Amino acid sequence: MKKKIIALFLIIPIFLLLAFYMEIGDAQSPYTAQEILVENGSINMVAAIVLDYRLFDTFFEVLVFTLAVTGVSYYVKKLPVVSDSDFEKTSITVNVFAPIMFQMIVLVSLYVAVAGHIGPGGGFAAGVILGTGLLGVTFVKPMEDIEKIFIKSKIEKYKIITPFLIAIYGILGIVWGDSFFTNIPLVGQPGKLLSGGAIIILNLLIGFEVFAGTWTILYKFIKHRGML
Amino acid sequence: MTLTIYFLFFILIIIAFYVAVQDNHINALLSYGAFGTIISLLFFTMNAPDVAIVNLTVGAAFIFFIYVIAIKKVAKVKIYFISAPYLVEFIDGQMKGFEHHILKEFLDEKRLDVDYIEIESEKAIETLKKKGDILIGGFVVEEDIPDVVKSEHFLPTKLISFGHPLKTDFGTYYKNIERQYYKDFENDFVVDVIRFKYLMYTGKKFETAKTTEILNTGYTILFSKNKEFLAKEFDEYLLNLKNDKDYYNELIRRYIG
Repeated sequence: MKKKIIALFLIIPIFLLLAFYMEIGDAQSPYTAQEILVENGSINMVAAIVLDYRLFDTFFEVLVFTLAVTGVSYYVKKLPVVSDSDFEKTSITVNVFAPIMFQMIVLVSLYVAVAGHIGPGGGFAAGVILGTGLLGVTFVKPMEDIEKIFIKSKIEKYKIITPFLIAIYGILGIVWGDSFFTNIPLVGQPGKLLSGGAIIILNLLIGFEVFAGTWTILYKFIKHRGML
Repeated sequence: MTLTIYFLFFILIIIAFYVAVQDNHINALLSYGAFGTIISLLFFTMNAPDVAIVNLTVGAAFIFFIYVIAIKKVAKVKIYFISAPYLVEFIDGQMKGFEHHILKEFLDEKRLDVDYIEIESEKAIETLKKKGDILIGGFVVEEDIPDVVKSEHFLPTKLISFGHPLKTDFGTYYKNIERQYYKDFENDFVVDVIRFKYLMYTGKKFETAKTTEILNTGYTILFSKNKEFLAKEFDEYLLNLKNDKDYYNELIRRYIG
């Protein structure tokens, strides 16, 4: 307890010193919001920046995530398989509620992915929402059912393709633009679903990638360590 | 608007302190969920709905679910017992006895699931070290056992010696003397009060009639090293139980007489 308090009193002054004496460079963008809207066509400026102007960063984020998931599934594979996973019956409320919630969560997740450029949302949020919904289902469904779906869908292999597809899209940028990672010049009418160039496709791809990664980690943990 | 943001920040700081000092896992987890929700509200008020959505799913739902499952797995406690008269007995498919009663009340209060497994007295401590969480069965421990944490005395007792203290029961750890099953005692041994009474009650005769009281001590419950926090919580529970004198005495009367 004493150590905790001392640590807290040390951390707070360090934080304050950093906060007051940090010099923030003048990192102002030459673009204005109106210019971005005209050039890119998506109302959600964050989506425009993440998936158009700074797509290079996002690409490496996705790559790191994929590598992390691959690493986890590779190392967990070495652990022995737990055959008698003790599935316990949960309360009846959870039993009824979780599958119904899952359907709604799938819809919300799809909406968040598809409408990522005309409202708050995006691929990462969509993937995590879907993964969380699935985690809720593991409370009520026994391991065998989940395993069947997991193996049948081959999601573990398809998820590796996503960074590859984004890379191809980036290379193709020189076809319709002047450099790599250029957005497709189909601006559309801002506010409509079909606007913002390739942002919908990228959002869906990233959403799928994040969802597959979450699901792989969950599945591997359940399979090799019992209940997670 | 500024006031709202200040207020939310203030709540965040309070919750963060609470999570840092909280010992109960469930309480800490619930307040962590509240922390995630409020921080995403803060993001939302500060015009970052994208971040708010992500934090709501990751910080308040995903991590919360994973911790719930982890706690559910950890919350299952394996209790090994050796049977001891009046303290821990397995009669007609039911666990009975004073020690079992107080331990069960404690674990119910902590909302932990329990598995009871009976083991041979010779291997009790080794099994506890290897894979168990709690070991019960009238243990009197007067020496240090490595990798095992003992609780406070939940019931006072005495060690009684018949002749020279050369042998003792598996429940007693006193001066490294040799151990033997207490029903096979003949002469020259040390035993605790309850087992002594039980031996008298069964009408066993011994060669040496001379008895001396060696030591005033008490029965303890043994916890494995990785359940040290549980031992601390049990000591607190025991203190409260002993302060409630009427109930404590009534329990003793009910089980031991």
